[in-house]
Amino acid sequence: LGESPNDVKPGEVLPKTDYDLIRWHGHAAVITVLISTLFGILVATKFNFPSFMGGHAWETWGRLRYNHTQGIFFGWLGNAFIAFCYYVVPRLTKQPVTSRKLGMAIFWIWNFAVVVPGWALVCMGFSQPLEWAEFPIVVDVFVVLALVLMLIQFVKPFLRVPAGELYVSGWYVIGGLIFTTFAYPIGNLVPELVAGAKGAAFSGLWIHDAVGLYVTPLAVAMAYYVIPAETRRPIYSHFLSMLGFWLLFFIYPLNGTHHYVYSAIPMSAQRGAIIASVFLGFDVILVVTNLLLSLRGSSGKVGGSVALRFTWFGVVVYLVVSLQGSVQAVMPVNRMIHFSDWVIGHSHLAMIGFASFTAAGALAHIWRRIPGARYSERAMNWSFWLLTLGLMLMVADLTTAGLIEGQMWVTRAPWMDSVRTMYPYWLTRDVSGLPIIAGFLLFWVGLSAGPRNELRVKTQRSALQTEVSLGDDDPGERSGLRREPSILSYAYVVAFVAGFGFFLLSFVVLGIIPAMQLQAEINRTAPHDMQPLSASEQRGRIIYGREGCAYCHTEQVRSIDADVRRFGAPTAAWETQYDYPQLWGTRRIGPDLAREYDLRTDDWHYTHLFNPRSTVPDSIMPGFPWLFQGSAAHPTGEASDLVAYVRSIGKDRALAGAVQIVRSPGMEMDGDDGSQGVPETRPRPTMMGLDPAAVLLASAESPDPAHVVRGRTVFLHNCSGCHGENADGAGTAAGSLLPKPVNLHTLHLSSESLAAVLWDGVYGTSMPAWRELQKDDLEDVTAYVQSLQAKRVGDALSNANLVAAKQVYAAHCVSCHGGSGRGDGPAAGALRPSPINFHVNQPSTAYGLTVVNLGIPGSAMPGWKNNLPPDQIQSLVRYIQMMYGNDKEPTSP
Amino acid sequence: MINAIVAIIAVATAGVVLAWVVRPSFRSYIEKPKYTMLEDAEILQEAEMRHDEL
Repeated sequence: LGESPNDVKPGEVLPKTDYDLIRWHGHAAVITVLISTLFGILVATKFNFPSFMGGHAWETWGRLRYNHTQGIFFGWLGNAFIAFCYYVVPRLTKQPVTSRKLGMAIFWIWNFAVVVPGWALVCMGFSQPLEWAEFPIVVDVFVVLALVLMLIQFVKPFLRVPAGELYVSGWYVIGGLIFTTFAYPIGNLVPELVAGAKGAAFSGLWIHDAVGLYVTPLAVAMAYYVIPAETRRPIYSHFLSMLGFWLLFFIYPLNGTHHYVYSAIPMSAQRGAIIASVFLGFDVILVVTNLLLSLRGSSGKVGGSVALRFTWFGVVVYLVVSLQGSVQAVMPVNRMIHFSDWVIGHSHLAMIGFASFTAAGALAHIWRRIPGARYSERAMNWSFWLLTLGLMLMVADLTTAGLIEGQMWVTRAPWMDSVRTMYPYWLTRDVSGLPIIAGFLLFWVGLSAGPRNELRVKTQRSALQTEVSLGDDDPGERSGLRREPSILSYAYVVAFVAGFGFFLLSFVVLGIIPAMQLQAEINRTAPHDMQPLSASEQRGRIIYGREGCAYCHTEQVRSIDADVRRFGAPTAAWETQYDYPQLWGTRRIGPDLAREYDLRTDDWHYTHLFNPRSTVPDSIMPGFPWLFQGSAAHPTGEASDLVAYVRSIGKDRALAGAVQIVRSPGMEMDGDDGSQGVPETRPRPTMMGLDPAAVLLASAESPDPAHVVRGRTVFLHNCSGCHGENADGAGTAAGSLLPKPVNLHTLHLSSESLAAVLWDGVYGTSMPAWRELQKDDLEDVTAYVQSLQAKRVGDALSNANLVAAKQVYAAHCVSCHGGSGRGDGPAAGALRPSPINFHVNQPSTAYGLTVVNLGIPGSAMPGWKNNLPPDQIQSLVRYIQMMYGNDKEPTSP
Repeated sequence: MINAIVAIIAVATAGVVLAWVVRPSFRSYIEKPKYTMLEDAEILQEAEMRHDEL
């Protein structure tokens, strides 16, 4: 060795570790992970029990979801990393951290100006709908302040450390802190200042940098420190560790756009990110191989030391999750699993399996060395196994769920089928959170209970001397080179230049250049008369972001067949040019909303927002009753704004019609034929209740009983919310819909009429299109509905009554319903809903009388009770009934 | 741009690996911190122990 570890150079002042700050941050980490995990469990519970804790704004799914991830990010991992830095920086630099007072300031800012107020503000409705950037901007100010203070606290001691003497963990600490200090404000602020697709390019950067350049470097720094410290043997190769470090910092920042594959972001940026993702996989293989080889001859200690076991597990998962990330960035895989629960499983594997296990290992390692601290190995052991159990169950469950979701989205199965299929998987995911929170609770017990640490350094030191002296490494390696340090040989200079340089590179390659290409694309393709959102729509957009809508509903149709077929034309760059910030989203639980413009009525949206299950019986969407005054019929201004926004999404694209888009270089899409018109999936307003494009349904005038039974099942899952379980028009949503849902026992509809209604919906009412349903399902529903009200025959009118009825009809009904009763009168074109076509829709006598007497509220049909005598109304209804199924004018027998 | 990035990564990595292969002094230089890390940790722990004993 050349010199004994006991030798202290003259004049050298040994630093003292501030164990108080380590304890504070350690306890803060565990307390916040418990709270954050509780948020996660509540969020997961709401998937299966969407009304659970659904009565107040602060406890809604979206806000708890924001707090779950931000709590893990800042509270748990942030505090654990800071605690680690207080322990490791003095050991790597032989310098104390800059200041204890500064440390106290960082502690208070991090926890009481970032984490706690961040949670509170999100619950109060102040947030930012950007992945990994959900805390509001006012909190971001304190995050940046804390990061700068951390640079002073932890990087300053590295100032006098020559690059050749700095251990790899120090490189990762410096690199991670410097990069994050730059990337955080960019990722949080730029999407607020740069609209739509351009902002998404920067969002993608931060989504990945948060994990790749903040969490990963500090977790890898922990692994590189804990493994040799626990095994008392140096790592396998410092060269490989440094190679891994530089490759990681070079490649990781270039990954960001792989979160938006098949989007409107230039394909050149997407492909660059995909290639970087694959490269990253190789880099992680290098890093993990080096770390695992560092356990050579010490593998038995993995079983004996919980700290080492946590770290070892984290390292193994680091390999798995990184290779998974590389694979899922590749386009054929990405098109299948993106937006699905697979990605949620992937992120939990990364944040729990890799980052949290590694952080737990480091905390356990440190805690055993804090003089006088309590530490329970037994509790830690239980913690490890509970966390492992919960994680494995969760990841296996979500990965499977994601594959199933992805497969269903590729097929023509209705969207709700994918939701229903996920119920057991989401329940399993919820259950898997229980051992995880129990594991973290026992981890806290492990740090708070058990015997107090003793001074046992002497024993460990003798072990170190033995193992190092018996090591089989080349002794020549240890002597190193004695050189006069130049400015560039100082680690902080190298790390700063490189860290800033890599940040700048990614900022330019994946942010600036794509943004410039997008602007050129927008200039070339945007309609010249595109209008920004109205004030109401803009307010609604803020509410949409505040409530986390973008975390279940994407607003981007990708350029893949499955998306286009289901939702419509791919999202073009210009569509979001006024969106600050973009709300593209990275997850689909509900359907994409990019083509929502004018698909549904205000009534439908109000009713759906108040209680989603009233309109969509199997929906898991949370209700938003605080946006209403007691019922869906009494929306507040916020509900009106939100509905105005949702109904406006995709408006300009729809109004632009079928336009040819000539893409500029770098913007070409795979399989893009250049025609980006309004898709065939978009329902069209129909006249006379018939649409020649409607799917042809088999005639069900004499339905098979088996079809009727099956049709009722389909009806209950899709229609009962409005029409009621008994199809009597008295569903839970009916009270707030105008016109009211039809009582299907009172109206006989022909197969062609039902086909048109199911295919297009009924424009002007809350009846949506059901093009998602399979043809078999549509036929079965048709059979069921037709079984409820048979076609009426007989009871022909006498000649006198027929003549009278004709006269009444000609005088009062022709302008809307047309001379032949086909709903094609001269006024029909301006009416929504369209007047009924009596040749394919036959009301029962009772219903006919009610309608003619009282009219249909919410439509143009007036009541005639005060204008026509009862006998004329009676004859008129019978006359109308006689039109059904007749091509000719009704005649007397 | 993508080609340039790939080329830079490949060349830089190959260059560093080559230096590691052909220059033993570089190997010694680059591997030194993995030993000093353990030693420095030990020194600090020792010093803290002495301080606590006092």
